[in-house]
Amino acid sequence: MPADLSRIIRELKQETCPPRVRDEVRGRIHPQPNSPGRWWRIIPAMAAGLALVGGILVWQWPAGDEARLKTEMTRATPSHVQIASQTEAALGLIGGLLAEASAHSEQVISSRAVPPLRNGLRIAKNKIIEHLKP
Amino acid sequence: MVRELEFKILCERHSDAIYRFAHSILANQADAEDATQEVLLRLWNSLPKLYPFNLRAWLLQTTRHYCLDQIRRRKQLAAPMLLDDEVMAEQPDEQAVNPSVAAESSSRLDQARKLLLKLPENLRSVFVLYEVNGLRYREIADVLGMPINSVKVYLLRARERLSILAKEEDLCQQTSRE
Repeated sequence: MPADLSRIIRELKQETCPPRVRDEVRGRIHPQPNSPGRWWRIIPAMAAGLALVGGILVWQWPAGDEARLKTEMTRATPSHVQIASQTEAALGLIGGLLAEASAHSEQVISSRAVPPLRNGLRIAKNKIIEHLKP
Repeated sequence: MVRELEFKILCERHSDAIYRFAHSILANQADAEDATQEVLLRLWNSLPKLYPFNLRAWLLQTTRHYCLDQIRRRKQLAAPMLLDDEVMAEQPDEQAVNPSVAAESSSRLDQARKLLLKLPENLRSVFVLYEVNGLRYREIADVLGMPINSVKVYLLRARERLSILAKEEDLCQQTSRE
């Protein structure tokens, strides 16, 4: 790619949405009760993500640290709050990636695995019918 | 609570892409901000019905429809849309506290935007969606409602034209310095 084009792309990528736009939208939305209709679709991905995070936590959590963690949580400083918010954002990103991976898997299964299986079943059915014919 | 958290994450994740895309179509910062707000509000209202795996394409498609609708509406009302330069000329700059720093940081971005605006809308959209927002060909085809091969051709043309425009711009600057 030419250097001038790369420069243009780099400049355009620096453009970000002003935070006030998001703040204003959050101020205008009205909390509504959750509808469970769409959640069943991403529950497997979320469960897998939670299991992974939980497994890592259990694995890296030495006994006796619980009390220390509790005291540290009570003494949370602004930096801790910042870390917590960054962790929240990271978990959100992981969730999104898992959801996208799940969608990809679904597409692959439906496009590659299902047609041969369907053909196989059809062939078997035809063979059985021919075999049963007098 | 879950819906709000999900919405917050989606806002953080997609608002930049929506804003950049709206800005590339509307060529005006204030209008791009309005468009971003409107699309995020539509996202909030449609969130329970949306399939979560093609959200990005849905958001950018909604952005495009909204922006083109705005352009059409303003043409009917005979109220021309102001480009960024015209807005700046009419209003005091927010960053006027330190004009030299602000001007230096935004001039290159403005220059890139001006070059981009010289492209036709369809080439501009394909270029921004692919190069700036990082969408794949299939997603761009979904957003713009065109075949994947057309997306590839448009992208090639957009790159070629931008490259030529950038070279012309450089030449103009060199001659003006001399």
